Parts: sequence; structure tokens; C-alpha cells
Amino acid sequence: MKRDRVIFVLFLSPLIAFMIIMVFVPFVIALLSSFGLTEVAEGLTGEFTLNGYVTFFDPSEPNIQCLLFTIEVTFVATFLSTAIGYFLALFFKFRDVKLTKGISMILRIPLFTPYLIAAFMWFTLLFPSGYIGIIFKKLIVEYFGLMDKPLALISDPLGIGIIMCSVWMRFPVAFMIIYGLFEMIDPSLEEAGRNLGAKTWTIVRRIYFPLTKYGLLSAITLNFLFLFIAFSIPFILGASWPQFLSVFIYINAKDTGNWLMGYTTSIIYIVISLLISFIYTISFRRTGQQ
Amino acid sequence: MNKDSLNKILDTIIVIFLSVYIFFPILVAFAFAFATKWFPSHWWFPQEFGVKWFEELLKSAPVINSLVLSYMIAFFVTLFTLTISLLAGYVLGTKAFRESFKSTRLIENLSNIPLAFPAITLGIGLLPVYARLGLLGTIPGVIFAHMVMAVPYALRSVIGAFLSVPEDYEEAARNLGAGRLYILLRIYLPLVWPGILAGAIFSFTWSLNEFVLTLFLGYPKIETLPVQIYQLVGGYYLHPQMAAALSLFLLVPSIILLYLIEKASKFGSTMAMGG
Repeated sequence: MKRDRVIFVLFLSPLIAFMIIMVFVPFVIALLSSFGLTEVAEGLTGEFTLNGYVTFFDPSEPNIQCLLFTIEVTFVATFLSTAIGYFLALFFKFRDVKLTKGISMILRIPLFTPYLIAAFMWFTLLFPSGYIGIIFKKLIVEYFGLMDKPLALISDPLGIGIIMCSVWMRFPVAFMIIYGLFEMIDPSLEEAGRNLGAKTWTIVRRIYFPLTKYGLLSAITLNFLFLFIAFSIPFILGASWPQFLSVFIYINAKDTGNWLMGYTTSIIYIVISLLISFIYTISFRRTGQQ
Repeated sequence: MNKDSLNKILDTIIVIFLSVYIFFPILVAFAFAFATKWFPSHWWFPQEFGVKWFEELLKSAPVINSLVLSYMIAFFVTLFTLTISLLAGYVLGTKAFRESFKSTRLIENLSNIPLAFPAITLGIGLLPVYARLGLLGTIPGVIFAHMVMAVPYALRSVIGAFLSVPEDYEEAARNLGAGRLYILLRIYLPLVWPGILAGAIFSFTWSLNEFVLTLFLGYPKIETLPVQIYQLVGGYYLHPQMAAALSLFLLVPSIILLYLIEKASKFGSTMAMGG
């Protein structure tokens, strides 16, 4: 037993040491710095202050606007990606289309694509000389005359570019989670429903949806978390204002040298991210139990 | 035309639309990389294809340096990540240790925490640590930074592989007098190697594509491929063709390697790389 304990400690010590130095210590530094309690960067005096948090939640300051913009864009992208994934799962489940290995592989391609490359690929599509940029201009401005000048699809204040790229990257996740759960549902439940005269929509609403609601919540939270903490996509496709929270931290720290705000925003960002992960963990467990 | 035929056509249209939606951005990136003449008046298709942009890239010393540097950093990230993950994965994934030490679950869960952290917040926290240790803008600094996210992925994969080995194998070996090292080398390693391989591929691909922490802690002294791409698309001058050509050096290996994980192992979960 004593030998086991020695092996246990010895084998885990590189992992624990690494995590302490590379994750725990930086987190503690960020936490203390957000209250001004360190002198690790310019503008931090080592004296306790709540200025960072007071400024962050002041509606007239840009910080809270960045948080709200991040939540809004992430919410829209999560909603669209999950809705596409859900309807696609329904399509493959209820139509006479087999999810072949080929289609399954194609659906995974966005998952294999690195964030930065995906952002760049959508940049080439959406910038004014890109396919979607040109088609949008020709249709909306020149053909239908709905606008005087084309809407910016990248570096835009609505986050259209971020949303389009994020939806492309994340809808397969929702599809795979939900389709996997659909396949696990006992087919006799559907058969019983059909024998009683239920139409497909009723079967979806009364059988499939209730049995996959926690899986759906898992897909939503997983997609929300991945987009909420993303950096490359908003960095390449986002506007100079309003900024995504991750980009805002980068600009605050690296360009404007406002380290107190950089650390405060980081702590708020981490807390929200951990809360979302917690919801994901709960829903994932519930899915397993169901 | 009867209802069945119409339904079949509709289904085929949806599948084609889905494939186009997925492939279109990738095909456009390829078109940008290989188009040598593309006049605005004929915007729908390039007029001439060639490898001009690849030749330009290969003539550029900073690009060659970043290419070599990226693959070298990825190699060391994989090596160090696997060392940590294999040692920890053995004690966290084998039943004997899981039953004897209640803290295994807690350690396993805590090791996953970086996955929920926005990478930029780790970067801002690491900055003073790196400044104190003299790691800012150094290759070892970038290697350690890449490992922060690579370790949890690799560890999950390795733990999954150890957990999948039936516990009777170890018991049978013990009953026959085998020692712990012998069991690890002769029983576990031959069975868990797909999980280790998946962890290695994950670490390598993650490092190759990591952008945020490199930009924060390595740039401008360390320029990896993602940083070079960023400079061509979001930096001071815009060159989508060169960026597209360069991005294929990341996109193609990433898709092939992650596809191999999917084929070879059940221990990896697929996801995009590089935050």
C-alpha cells in the first residue's frame, strides 16, 4: 500500500506541478490583480480596489456592452447551430435517407477545421470581394434595391460574420449529439404512437423531444461555451466596436495597457464560462441517466 | 411524377445543399490558394490556376522559419504532453489505483478545468509568471503554453484507454507473479496504444493550430504558422491568396490527422483546434 502511494504521488506530480504553475497560479494572479492586490503590471498598485468591477458594470462604460454583445452573438449563433443540427437529425431520422459513412464524414469536416482557418475561410467568402459579399451586393442592392449600399458582412457591428462562421463550425456538434440520442430511443415507442394514429410531428413532440431534452440542453451549452470563449473567429471577423469579450481583454491588456480592466474582465469571463460548464456537466449527467 | 419520387428528389436536394454548405468555404480557400489570375469582372471563377502563391511563400524566409518552428514546437508539445499524460493516465485510469485512492476522480475533473477557461484569460494570467521566469517570447514558453490545453485532451484520451482494459488481465498477471512495471509494459501498453496515439495526434494538431496564447506570450519574437496567417489576413496588409496558400499547410494535416483519430481510436472526441 505504501509503495502504491509512492507510485501514485510520483506519477501524478508532473501533472499537478504543471497544472499549479500553468493554471492555478495564473488564475490566482488574475483574481488578485482584478482587486488591484498585485503589482505585476502597469496601473496595479498593490492596494485593494473595486474600481475594476465598478467600472465593468457601469452601463456608460464599454465593458458591459462588450459582455452583452458577446452573449447576444453567442446566443444567436448557438440557437441557429443547434436548430440546424436538430432539424438535420430529424431529417435523417424520419426521411428515407441513410446516414452513410460518407455523409457522416462530410458532416465532421467543420469539426476538424481549426478555428483560425475557419475564420479565414469565411473571411474570403464574406469580405466585399468574396462570393457571398458580391452575391449579397448584386441581389440586395443592385437587383432588388432593398438597400442603398451593401451591409458589411465582416467587421460589422451586428456580428454577422462571427455568427455565420460559428454556425458552420458548430452545427455538426448539435447534430451528432441529438442524432445519437434519437438512435438510442426504443423504436417500439414510435411504433406504438403510429399504431395509435399519431403523425410524425406528434411523435417528435410527444416522444422524441421529451426523451432528448437534456441532450438538447447539452448541445446548447456545449456550443454556447465553445463560442463564448472563442478568440480567433471574433478577432478575424469581428468589428473594432462592439468587441467580443476575448478580443476586448486582448486589446485592453496588449494595446491600451489597461491591465486592471484586463484582469477584471478575465475573472468575470472565467466565472461565466465555469457556470456554463457546470450547466453542461449537469445536463450531460441527466442525459446519461435518461 | 408520384409522391415518392418527389420526396426522393427533395431528400437528394437537401443532402446536396448540406454538402455544398460544408465544402464551399473550403473550396473557396483552395481557389484563392491556386488562383493566379482572378479578374473582378469575372468574379465567379478564377481565370488561371497555378502554384505562384506557394512559390512566393517558399521564397519567404519568415514563412519557412514559422513552418519549421510550428512543426518543431508541435513535436515537443506532443512529447512532453504524452509524458505527463501517460504517467498520470496510468494511475488515474487503472482500477487498482481508482479503488485505493478516492482523489483520482477529483484530480481527473480538476485537470479538465482549462478546457472551460477562455484561452485569453490564461494568457493574461500567465504573462506575469512568464515575465518573472524569463519565458516571454521564447520557444520553451510557447511549448508550455500550448501544453495547457493539450494536456487535458491527451489525458482524457489516455485515461479512457486505460479504463477500457478489462481488470481481470491485471489480476491474472498479478496472480502469476508479474510486477507492476511488467504489467504496465507487457499488459497495458500493447492495449492502450490507440489511446496514446489519439492523445499524441490531438496534442500535435492542437499545438500546430494554437493561436491565442502564441500571439499573447510569444509574438513578435515567436511567429508560428497561425500568427503568419493572421498577419496576412488581419494584420497591417491584406493578402488573402498568400493566407489561403499558407492555411492549407494547417488545414490539410489537421483534417487528415483528426480523421485518423476517428478511424483508429474510440478514445478521442472530435473538435476544432486552436481556440
